[in-house]
Amino acid sequence: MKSKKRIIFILIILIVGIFAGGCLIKHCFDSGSKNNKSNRIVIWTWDETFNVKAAKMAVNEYCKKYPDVEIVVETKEREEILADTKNMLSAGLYDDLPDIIMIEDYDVQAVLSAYEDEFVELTGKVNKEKFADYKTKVCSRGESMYGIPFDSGTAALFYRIDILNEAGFTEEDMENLNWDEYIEIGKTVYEKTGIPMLTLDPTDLPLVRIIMQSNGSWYVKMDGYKANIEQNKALEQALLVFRKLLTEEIGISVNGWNEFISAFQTGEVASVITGGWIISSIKANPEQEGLWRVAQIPIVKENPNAVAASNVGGSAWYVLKNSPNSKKATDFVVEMFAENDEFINSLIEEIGILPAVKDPSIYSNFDALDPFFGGQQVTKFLTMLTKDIPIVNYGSKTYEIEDILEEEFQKALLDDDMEQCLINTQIKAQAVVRE
Amino acid sequence: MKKKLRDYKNSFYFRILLMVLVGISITAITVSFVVLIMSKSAFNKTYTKSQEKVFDRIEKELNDFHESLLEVVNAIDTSWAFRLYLNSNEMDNLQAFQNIHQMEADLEKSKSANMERLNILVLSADKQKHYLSRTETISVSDEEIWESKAVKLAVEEPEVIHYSFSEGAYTMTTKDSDVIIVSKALYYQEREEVYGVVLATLTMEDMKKYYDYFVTEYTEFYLVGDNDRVFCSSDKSSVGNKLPSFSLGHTVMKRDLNYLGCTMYGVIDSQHALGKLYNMSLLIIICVAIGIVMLAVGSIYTRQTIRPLSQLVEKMSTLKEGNFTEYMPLSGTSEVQELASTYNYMLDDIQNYIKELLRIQKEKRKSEIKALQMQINPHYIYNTLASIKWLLYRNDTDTIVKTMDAFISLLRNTISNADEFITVEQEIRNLDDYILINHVRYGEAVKVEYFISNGCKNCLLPKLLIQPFIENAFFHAFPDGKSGTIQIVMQVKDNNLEIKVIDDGVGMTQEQAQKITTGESNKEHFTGIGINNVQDRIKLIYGKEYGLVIDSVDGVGTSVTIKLPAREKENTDEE
Repeated sequence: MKSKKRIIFILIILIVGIFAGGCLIKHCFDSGSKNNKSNRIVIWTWDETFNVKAAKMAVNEYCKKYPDVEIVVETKEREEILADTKNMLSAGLYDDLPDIIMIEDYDVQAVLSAYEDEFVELTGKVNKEKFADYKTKVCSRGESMYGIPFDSGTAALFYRIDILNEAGFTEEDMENLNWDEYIEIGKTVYEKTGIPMLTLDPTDLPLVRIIMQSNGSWYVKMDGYKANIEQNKALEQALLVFRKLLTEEIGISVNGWNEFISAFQTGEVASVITGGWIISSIKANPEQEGLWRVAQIPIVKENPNAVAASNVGGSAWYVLKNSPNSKKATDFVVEMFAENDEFINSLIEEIGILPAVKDPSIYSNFDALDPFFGGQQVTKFLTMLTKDIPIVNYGSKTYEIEDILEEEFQKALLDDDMEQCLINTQIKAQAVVRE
Repeated sequence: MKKKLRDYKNSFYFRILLMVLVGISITAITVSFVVLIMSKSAFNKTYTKSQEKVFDRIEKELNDFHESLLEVVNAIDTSWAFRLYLNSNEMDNLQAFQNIHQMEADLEKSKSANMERLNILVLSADKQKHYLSRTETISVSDEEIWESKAVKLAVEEPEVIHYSFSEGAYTMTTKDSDVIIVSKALYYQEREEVYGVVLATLTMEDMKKYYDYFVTEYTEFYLVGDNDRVFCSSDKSSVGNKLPSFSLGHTVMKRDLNYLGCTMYGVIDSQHALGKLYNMSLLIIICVAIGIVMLAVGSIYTRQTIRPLSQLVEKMSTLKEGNFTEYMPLSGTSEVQELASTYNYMLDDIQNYIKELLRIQKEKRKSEIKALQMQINPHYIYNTLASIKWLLYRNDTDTIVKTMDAFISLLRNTISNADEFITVEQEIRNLDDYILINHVRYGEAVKVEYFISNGCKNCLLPKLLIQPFIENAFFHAFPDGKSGTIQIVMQVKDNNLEIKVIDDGVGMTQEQAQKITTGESNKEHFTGIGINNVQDRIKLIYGKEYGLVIDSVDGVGTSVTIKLPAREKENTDEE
């Protein structure tokens, strides 16, 4: 009896000893791997004047309410965000992942098809009905929604009224243009002022996309898995317009984003045709206040489907499920970008965002008069255009196909054989699209 | 209490435990110490060596990086598209468009995989043309860039690549961050005329991936430029300052990076690393825990092993009190078993010896008593015969015959009858004979009465058991011819035969009664057996619970009660 008690006593000591030892060892290892990163939400986005600025404003706003949350906005290139995120996800480096990333609409489907499980599903957390249908479709896979729509990339013609006035054109002259008319205006402007109409970047063809979509077509067919290049009239017309702009010297060649931006900021060109998100960059030069106007994009008059509305870019916020602070990050984006109408309203004023919502009139700044654009209701004008944008399926390989097209288009510029260019591009694009 | 403690200290158990404790402590301390010293040197060797390898790899990678960068710069330098772009203003728009595409292609071709997102700015000498590889905008004016240290260095020595540290570069995202700017001039070798400059910007984050795997809690990495200033380090606080001096516990590795024109240092804080490696408190806790466990296990084991021994000690101490029946169980180690069996054997021996001794003693006493009961005091015979002779003188023939008959019967029953036990009936007959003789000799002043229950007629009792008490009563209870009665009462009570001899004589004090039972013999007596022997005899024959009791009151009388087991004649034949 006595020895039994003793054995139990020893057992207890043993267990306690092992436990204490274990705890201590664990403690030692724990302290080594601990880092102070754990409480920080990291956001990756691009464009200092637009997305980055919006994210930073959201952080300021959010931290007023929740002072203990630390959020860092890191500026990276669009391609860099995609490449780095994919690398980390495929390597399982979850500790280094950002919590929130911005993905452009053209890229989303490719990312979601490969890493659907890595993103936080927002279907139940966000009121889907609030956002424009075309946008929620892009952010979703099947019935599951993964992104919070940020801006719509409704395209428009932004032009310098002072330069055009100098060349003898009025605001009315810029309404309801077709491309031939635009080119004619361009010629006159160049003759009279020496200023070309727009910039063209051989490494990026947003203008081709804008024209193609306004013609109701895309690089891929509606199913998303068949290249739609050869015998695509809409695309061919877009490329012909582009070539004409080049050869007629309406558009000057620039390289890269920096020259594209600085060209209109410094007044080297008279107009910009791109998505509404460019407004923040246009406004970056305060000296040009009141000198800008906005109008519908020109259409291809040969194409019966052509409408004077299109889209370029546009993006949404996505939260990575396995990132260090996924949960807090979800709370942050949902509160700021999906629910906080007041904040989005302030973004309209600050960066000229075009919210991708069904009913933009919920924002009081929606019909505000913009002095930078001579008192035009820019936001209202652009959002009205949104519903006219022809619906196409972007598929998941937009930039890959465009790289091929750039290459082939260069050849077509030399030998003038646009048909062959499309045939060659079709073969290569089909290889890329089929997966 | 103190003594107990001392005993405990002196015990086998305590000593073994103490030895175990001391042993464990010495082992733990020595082993820990030796292991500590051994592993310390091993750690220093292997850790430093492995870190050195890592360090060498950084050097190699930085050199590789430098080479890749050189390739990019050379590609730009040799690209006709870039030359055209930077020098010519005579291109038409279409040519320019194609030229830009070619530039992009040339640069893309020369970039190795690890510099996919390299930030490269190419600036023409006339400050008209720039090429920026990243999707962002330039935030400072071309003049400012041209005036910067990096460009100046490149223009001064156009044939080499320069690395310089700068607090802020020229693009939106890098304008406020510490960067390393790599600069190389583009120039016509013949004319020695610079037509442009290539600037690659490396942020500290970019640099970090080259040294990050070297950096731990105990190792720091420093890149020191020509001016002895640290321009890139894992230790953020040292950037921009002179390289800190390191104390004795640090291992410092140094490599000159000739291409980069800088020196890289790897510093290992061995002391700190070792301190973290050895968690002394954990070591001590483990030692103490194992010590306690071993002590506990040892305690149980020792206790179990020496339990038979301590049992032996316990049993032996009862031996002192004369208890020879505590045997040892045979358990424990072989030595202890041997000891126990020997001890048991010894106990057996002692017990046998004692038994034998007792038996001999008993036998001796028995034969003594036997001898006593067999003999008749010769004086009694002389005196009786003398009395008969006196009767002859008186010619009292009847009385003579009666006396002679009684005397003969008495002698026969005592001397001739060899049986030790006789029935109550026979005993009474003997008593009758004896009383008759006494009456003849001393007159009939003392009367004897019998009250014998019927049940006890056949009971057996030792021969001549009652006689001494009658004799006593005759001679001591009634002195000087005093008359009186002696009553003999016999009955069976609770399976015991109770015999009472009661007289109404002078009685005596309790001390005198005591005296009688312990022994005083009278030559006049019929047998040599004294009262004192009767008690012994009864106890010897029947056991302790039987015996006699004398109650006497001075001047009133004496009562002797004898208790014997009631045994019928038939049942005791064999005795």
